[in-house]
Amino acid sequence: MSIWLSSIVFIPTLGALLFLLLPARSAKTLRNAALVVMLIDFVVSLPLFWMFDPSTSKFQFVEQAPWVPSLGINYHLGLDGISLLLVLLTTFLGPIVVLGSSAVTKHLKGYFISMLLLQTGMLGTFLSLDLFLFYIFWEVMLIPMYFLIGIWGGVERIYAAVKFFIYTMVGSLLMLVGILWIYFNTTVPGIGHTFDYTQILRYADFGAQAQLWLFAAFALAFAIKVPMFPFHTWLPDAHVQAPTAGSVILAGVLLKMGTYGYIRFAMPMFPHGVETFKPLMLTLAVIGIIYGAMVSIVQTDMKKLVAYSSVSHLGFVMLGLFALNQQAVTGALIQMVSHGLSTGALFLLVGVVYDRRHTRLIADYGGIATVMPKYAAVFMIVMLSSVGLPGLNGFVGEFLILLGTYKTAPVFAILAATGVILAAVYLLWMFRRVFYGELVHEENKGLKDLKGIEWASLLPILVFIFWIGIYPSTFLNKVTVSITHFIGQVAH
Amino acid sequence: MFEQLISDMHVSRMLPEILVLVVALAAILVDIVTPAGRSTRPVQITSIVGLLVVIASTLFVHNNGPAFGGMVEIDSFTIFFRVVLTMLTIIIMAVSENYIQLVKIRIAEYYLMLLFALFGMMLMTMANDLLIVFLGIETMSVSLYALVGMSRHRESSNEGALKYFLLGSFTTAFFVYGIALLYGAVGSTNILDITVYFQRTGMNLPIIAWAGTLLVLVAFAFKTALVPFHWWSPDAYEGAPTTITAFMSTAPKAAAFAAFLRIFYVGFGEVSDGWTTALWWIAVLTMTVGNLMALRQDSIKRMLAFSSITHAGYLVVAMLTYDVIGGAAMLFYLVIYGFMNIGAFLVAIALNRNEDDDRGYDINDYKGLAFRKPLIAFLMMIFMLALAGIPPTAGFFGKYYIFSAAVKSGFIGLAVIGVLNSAVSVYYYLRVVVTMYLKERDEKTEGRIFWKPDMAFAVIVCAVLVMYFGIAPDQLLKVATASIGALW
Repeated sequence: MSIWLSSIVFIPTLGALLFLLLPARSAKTLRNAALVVMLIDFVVSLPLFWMFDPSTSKFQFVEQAPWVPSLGINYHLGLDGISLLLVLLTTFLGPIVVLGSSAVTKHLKGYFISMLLLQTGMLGTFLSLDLFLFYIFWEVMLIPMYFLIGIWGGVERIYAAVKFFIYTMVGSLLMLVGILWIYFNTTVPGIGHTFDYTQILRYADFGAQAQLWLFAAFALAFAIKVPMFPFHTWLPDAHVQAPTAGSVILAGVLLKMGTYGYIRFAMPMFPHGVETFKPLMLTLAVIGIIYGAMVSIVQTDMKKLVAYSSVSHLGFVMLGLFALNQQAVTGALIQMVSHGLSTGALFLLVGVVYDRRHTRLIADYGGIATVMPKYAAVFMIVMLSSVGLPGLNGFVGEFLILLGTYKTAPVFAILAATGVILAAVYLLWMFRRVFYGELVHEENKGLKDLKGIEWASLLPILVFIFWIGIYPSTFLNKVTVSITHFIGQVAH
Repeated sequence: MFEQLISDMHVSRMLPEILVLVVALAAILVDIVTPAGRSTRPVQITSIVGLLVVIASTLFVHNNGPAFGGMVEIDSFTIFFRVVLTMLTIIIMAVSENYIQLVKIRIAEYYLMLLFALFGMMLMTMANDLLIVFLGIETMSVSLYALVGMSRHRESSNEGALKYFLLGSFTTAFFVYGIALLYGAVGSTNILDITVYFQRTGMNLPIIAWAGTLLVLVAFAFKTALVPFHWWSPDAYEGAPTTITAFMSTAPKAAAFAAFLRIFYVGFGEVSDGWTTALWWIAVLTMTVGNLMALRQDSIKRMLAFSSITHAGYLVVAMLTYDVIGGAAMLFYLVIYGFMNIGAFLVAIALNRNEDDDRGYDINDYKGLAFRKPLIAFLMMIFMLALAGIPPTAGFFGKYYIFSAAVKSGFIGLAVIGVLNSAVSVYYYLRVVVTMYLKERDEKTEGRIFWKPDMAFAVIVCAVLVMYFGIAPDQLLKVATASIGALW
């Protein structure tokens, strides 16, 4: 049995332990150490992409060992096409968020330890194939994120951190009851009760009524995380208060844990629940798309605008998942990755000017394209990718989702398409107000253009924005079989 | 003939209990030979060493079976609690010396009372007869009344002791009356005879047997501070010297639950339909009321006092499943709860500004503690997360196991109420973490920190165990399951 996946999950934890030995005084050492750990983790995870066999829907690189045998809990990791992309997205964003942390100066040691532990939690969530193990990672990741928002965040950080924690906790505890119920109602011949995901899919036979309840319990936990309308209210607070790097992780990876939860657990395990809740989920997804976009339009704070745009973009993901055909689900998956890249980059970009001017209000800028031309160019590319311009990554996902949804639920597709238009409205309008026009504010005249470290964090993302936009097949090939299998599971 | 009688009593099976009494006597002698006015350190050391011998005798001398003509039963359940209770007592004693010097208690009776309480508790866990339970409860309680009131010059200590004593006397009355009624119906106070009686009657009990059962239930609800019989506990907990509060919220509670379990699982098992319904409501009330009260506290000590009511509610959830898993979950939780709660109380002691001032435990004293004393803050965070039931601490596994027992036995509604309560409790435990880690330091609220080596050692041991049982709970689960097996 290889320990490849375990290494990927726990390299950041080891790094965090090493951090305890480092001196707290030297900021430079700490930054470099964090960067090195994240880079090692990324490099270790990278060969997965080539070694992964896209012709099978089976889990690969599986690791299994008993953990608490008397309770039937196993340590069980594995990877399929769906988790492959998300794991790589996570390890890819790791070094980038370290680079994006240059504005953080307070308690740097604790900051990077939190960040590394968070990385372990997220990777573990994407790789767990044991419901109990999944739950542990899902919960454990709350604590470092809570600290990232609460210690290094903005003025209202405590409120935001506690809200984030309690919201997530309430949802996940109900899921825990669901997990327990599953455990006691799944019997593997010769073994007994199990938390094992693959065994549950094979042997579990829940009644239609039970599936409704179970789906509801799981869906609530995941809906809060996604976040779906109307459970999204924690997100703007958390985003606005979190430090830049925290926002990048939050938008880039954490929210994906919610959508991943649907695709991995809630939908394949409870197909009857999906059938019953499908209209509701589609409706909420569309409301999320339009509501998120409308609220974005009126924002005066750039970070809040991007935060609400996440609600809208993740509405697309949910729409694609519940449209339940090959194109829509593929689109949803690509959109998950795209949103991680584009929105992550947007948060980094907002952070760039915030570090210089300590304001995120749109009204405090205007005409800065003349003093920061390179910044404006990068911002435009990322912004257009978020709008969904053909040739950039955002288009691929949204197009596939709308195409797929139109086949099964045309009305929802048409309504959702307005979201694309609204996205163009709020993003382009913001862009115009920030970058064009007269350079009215005196303070903005001395703004410096992008620095080396900022380039270092943005360029890799730009590469993938173009790559996915121009030649998505590299990534689509990896997921096709897994998605076909997924649809087979849900729609049987 | 007399020798025959002695050997039938199997006195040797109670060796650990006898040793506890010997230790107590030795401690008295040590106190007598120590010059007056000097520290009570010799008494402390005698007691701790003695108790280590007690643990050794429990673990290495195997002599199970009934003793005193079936009045007590020594089985794996008894042994489990003997070890746990003695360990908790040792921890409390180990940190007490510096503390009682600080709060000017300075009398050897402090340790003696702890030893007598321990003897009473051990008796409770092995009692196979309602009268022995009564004896054990009284021995324990009388020692505790004295311990609560030991800060004689402090008003709240006297108040707490008096309230505790008065309400404890009521409980005693309930309990004795219940025993009398049951005796009237059954003709015996031995729980095995009671079982036989209930097997014959089934649920068609005469009214006096029901009334007797109910009164015994109420008495136990008092002793374990379940809502609505919890009124004594916040005042007694607040008034007591804080080491004693830590003790009371763990060891005596565990002992009371042990007796509760044995009496109801073995003795009243046949009529479980009756008492599980009552406990269902008690569990819901206890979890919820404890939580709502704890939410409003600004004093760490009071917050922990109320939250210990909530934790008793979780234990009742496990108990009312009337199932091996539920029982094992209870045993597991009692152990880890002991360590996390004592740990939290010890940190509270370390930070208390003024024992005589009721605001000595104000949460504002914790502002920015993480940047002032990172180690203490980190340890406290572990205890808070464990009490809130967040992985990877043992607190999570404990709660998980309890709710899994509830779900297995079909109490899904109760499990949902339980987890929601658990989510509420996150708020006030997290508040401590917020204050330590997210708030800035505030010079005005920074008092002295009472962090002696003995204290540091005990707190670290508690924290390590809380983390260890969170990551590798398997052994303890197996021991707990084997121990509860003795009741079936």
